[in-house]
Amino acid sequence: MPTIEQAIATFGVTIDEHLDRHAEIPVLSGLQFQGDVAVVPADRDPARIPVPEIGVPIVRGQAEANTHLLLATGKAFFSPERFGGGMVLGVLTVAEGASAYLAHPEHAFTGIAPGTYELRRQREQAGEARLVAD
Amino acid sequence: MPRAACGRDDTAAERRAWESAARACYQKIGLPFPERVVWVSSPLVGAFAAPIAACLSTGHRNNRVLDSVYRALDDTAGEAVGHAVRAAVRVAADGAVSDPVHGAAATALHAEIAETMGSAMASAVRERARVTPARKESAPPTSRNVPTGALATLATASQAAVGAAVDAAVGGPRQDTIRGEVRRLWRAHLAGQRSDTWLTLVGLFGQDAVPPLDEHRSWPTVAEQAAAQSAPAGWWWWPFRGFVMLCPRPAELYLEQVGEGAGVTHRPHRADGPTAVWPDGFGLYFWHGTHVTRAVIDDTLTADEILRETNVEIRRCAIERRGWDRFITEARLAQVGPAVPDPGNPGQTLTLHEVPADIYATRVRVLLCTNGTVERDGTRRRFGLTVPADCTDPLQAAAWTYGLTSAQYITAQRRS
Repeated sequence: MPTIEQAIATFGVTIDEHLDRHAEIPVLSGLQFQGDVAVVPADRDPARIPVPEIGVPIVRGQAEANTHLLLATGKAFFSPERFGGGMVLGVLTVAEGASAYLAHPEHAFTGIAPGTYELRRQREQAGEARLVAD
Repeated sequence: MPRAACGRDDTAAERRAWESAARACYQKIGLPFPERVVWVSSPLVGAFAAPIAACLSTGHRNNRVLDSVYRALDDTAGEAVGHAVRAAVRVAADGAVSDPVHGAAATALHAEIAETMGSAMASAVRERARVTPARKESAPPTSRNVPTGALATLATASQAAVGAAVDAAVGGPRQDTIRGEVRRLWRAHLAGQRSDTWLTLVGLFGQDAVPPLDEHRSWPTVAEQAAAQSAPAGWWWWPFRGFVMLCPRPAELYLEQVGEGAGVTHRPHRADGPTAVWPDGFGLYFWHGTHVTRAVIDDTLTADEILRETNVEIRRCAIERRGWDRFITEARLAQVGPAVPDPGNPGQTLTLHEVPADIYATRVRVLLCTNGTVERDGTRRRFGLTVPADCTDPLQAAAWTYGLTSAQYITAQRRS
């Protein structure tokens, strides 16, 4: 389990200063949430598009500030959902021996173990269902 | 273009461009351009000063009535506005008693000028564009960098806010000539309704004087005061017979970005003050693009006042501004089912609450959650999410927000 400090050094991304740099990031294979994004273990065809070194912005926040950025050490793949705008953002596949991470300035890091997942966006029922921006 | 030119130094040049454009409109309809050009501090001041000055300059000289209008204005809009209106009226109307046309016929002429001006603007634009063919290729800097959607939203809000102030001051049962003319003539301002044509015309006059903003310094992605600098210099103007009254752009303007990439737009929004504010303090308040009252943004309404608000959109904005966690407590929204531990978020609970029927178009309940990460001050942010009214317990509601079943949701390992 890397610490937040190690993840910052590896990926060169920054997170809010008040978050404990020595906290360890659990790398998990089950259901996890990072604010308004869910990592849902899924029985889906594996993703095939490699996650580039600079990462993939899964949800862009205001002024690029509150972006959920998908990063990886080792081989990870992400296929965006073809018809965007819904709850499912795309399919993530983390190869054996690799780890994927979601980085967010306010929520720090979410560590994702090998497996295939759906990345989902949270929604609300405000008149008609709309997506949550945190 | 030097970057320094992006500052406010160009205000004087922009004002000259506005005045030149106004002059072209008068020329177009064959009227002499008035010698009196009066800049007022806000649309609110102009909305009172222009009609009152129009009355005075065309022979309405009943000081008793005038004083009572000024007093009503002081009482409803505040003495600062009252003083600014008196000062503008003095400049616009003093010594203008020699006008040969008096009375109602003369004030009718004011409205006529404003009406004629609309079509005059369009033909002045065509004419001006013809005589300056060299400039034809460059797109006229109509609204410069201000997104037209945001401008239109501001113009509509400006109209509503000033209209409400006019009603408050002179809309009562007491009626006289000046009150009647204020109610009628404040609407005769231009540029609010026909901003495209007018700003194009101003742009044609302003190309030499007004440097275009650096493209890289386009609209900020977050609310920023600098936004106001790329708004056009003028806002509303009243083209009357004896004077032209113009009001400047807001001194501060805050926008937020919506969307991303090619679909990015901007809308007025500010959570801690007026979104657009003029030099005299007249402000417009917005919550994520919705025009709201000052009380919504200052967060001074009681929960009952919020629930009694008749406009659904404003009611929703007021609740969001307050925060669901506080609103649930203050409005004593009934809890549905027990509080349950939030899976993956140790020590935190989820609760579900009823929401009164008329807050949203459809029946909803609200799920109160707590962030998985601490804030700078060591607290955890609590927030409400609306869920369908058929959710019967907090877990089912939380699961619904991610499209999961309750059975899936309780397996959550971590929330950050």
